[in-house]
Amino acid sequence: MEREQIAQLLEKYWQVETTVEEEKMLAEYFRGPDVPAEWEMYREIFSFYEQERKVKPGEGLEERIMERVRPRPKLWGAWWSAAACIVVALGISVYQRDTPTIKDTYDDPQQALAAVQKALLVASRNMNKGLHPLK
Amino acid sequence: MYGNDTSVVTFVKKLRHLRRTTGPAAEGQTNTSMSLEVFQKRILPMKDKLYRLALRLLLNGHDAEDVVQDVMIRLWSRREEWGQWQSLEAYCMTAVKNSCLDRLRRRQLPSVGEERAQDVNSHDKDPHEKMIAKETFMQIRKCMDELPQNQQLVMQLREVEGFSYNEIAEVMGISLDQVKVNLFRARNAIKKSIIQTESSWKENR
Repeated sequence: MEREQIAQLLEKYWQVETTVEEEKMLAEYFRGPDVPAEWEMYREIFSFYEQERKVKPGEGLEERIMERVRPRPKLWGAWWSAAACIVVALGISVYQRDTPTIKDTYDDPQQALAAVQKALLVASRNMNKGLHPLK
Repeated sequence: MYGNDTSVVTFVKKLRHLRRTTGPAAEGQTNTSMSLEVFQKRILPMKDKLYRLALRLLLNGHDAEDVVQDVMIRLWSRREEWGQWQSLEAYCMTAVKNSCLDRLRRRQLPSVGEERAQDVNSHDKDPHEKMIAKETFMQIRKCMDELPQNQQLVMQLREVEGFSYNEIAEVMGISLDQVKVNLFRARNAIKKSIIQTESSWKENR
C-alpha cells in the first residue's frame, strides 16, 4: 500500500474515524517489512495489540467447563449398580426369612430330656395349683 | 459479528418445529443434545475473548479463568433463553464484564489502575504473559493499565477484539459518542506515552 495512503489512515485512526476494516489494513501494513523508521513506534503499538490477541486461558479450562455441562454417562452406571445392590440385598433377606435356621440348645439328648421333663413338671404343677381352688 | 448468531436462530426455529411435530418427551432429549452442539460450536470458542477481557479487568489469570467458567456454566443453565438474546457474543462479554466488576468490588480494590505494583507482578507470574517481555510492550501495557477503566475496556474491545462501536456500546452500556470519546482519549494517551519513551530512548543513546 502507498505510504501516503497509510499516513492518511493513521491520521484518521488517531481521530477515531477509521472503520474496523481500515484498522485491519493498518495492522496488516505494520506487520509487513516496509515500515519506515519514523513509524517504528506505531509498529510497536499495533504489534502489541497483536500479542494481546494471542493471550489464551490455560489448557484445562475448556474441559472443566464441559465436565459441568455434559450429561455424564458414568452416572447411569452408578444408578444401575445402586439398583442392583438393592435387588440383591432384598433377595438375600427374603431367602433368609424363608429358611429360618434352628439352633439346638442342648448337645446331650439326656440333658435335653431332663430339661423338657423339668419344664413339663413346672407347667403341670402350676396347672394343678390353678385347679385347686375349683375343688 | 451478528452473523455468528444465525445458527442460534436456526436452532430456535428447529425447536419450535419440533414442539409442533413431536411430543414434549422427544423434544426434551433433542433439545439438550442440540443445545450442547450450539454450546460447543458457538459459545465455548468465545472463551479466549472472554478470558482476555476478564484478565484486563482482574489482572490475574486464575481469577479470570474462574469468571469465564462461572459465566459459561450460568449460560448453559439458561439455555432456554438463548434465542431471545440479540447477540450471544455481546451478552457473554457483558456477563463477564459485570462479573469482573462485582469481583473487584468484593475484593475492595480501589480501581484497576491503582494497584500497579501488584499488577505487574501478577502479569509476570502469568505464563501466558511471558511472551510479552519487550520493553516497549511493557511501556504500552503500563500506560494501558493506568487508563480509566472505561478507556481500558473500550481499547480491549476495539484494538484487541475488533468489535464495532455498536457492539462496544452494547457491552458497556454507554452511548456511541461515549465509546468514541473514550477510544479517542485512550489511543492518544498510548501514542503520547510511546512518543515520550521513544524520545527519551534517543536522548539516552
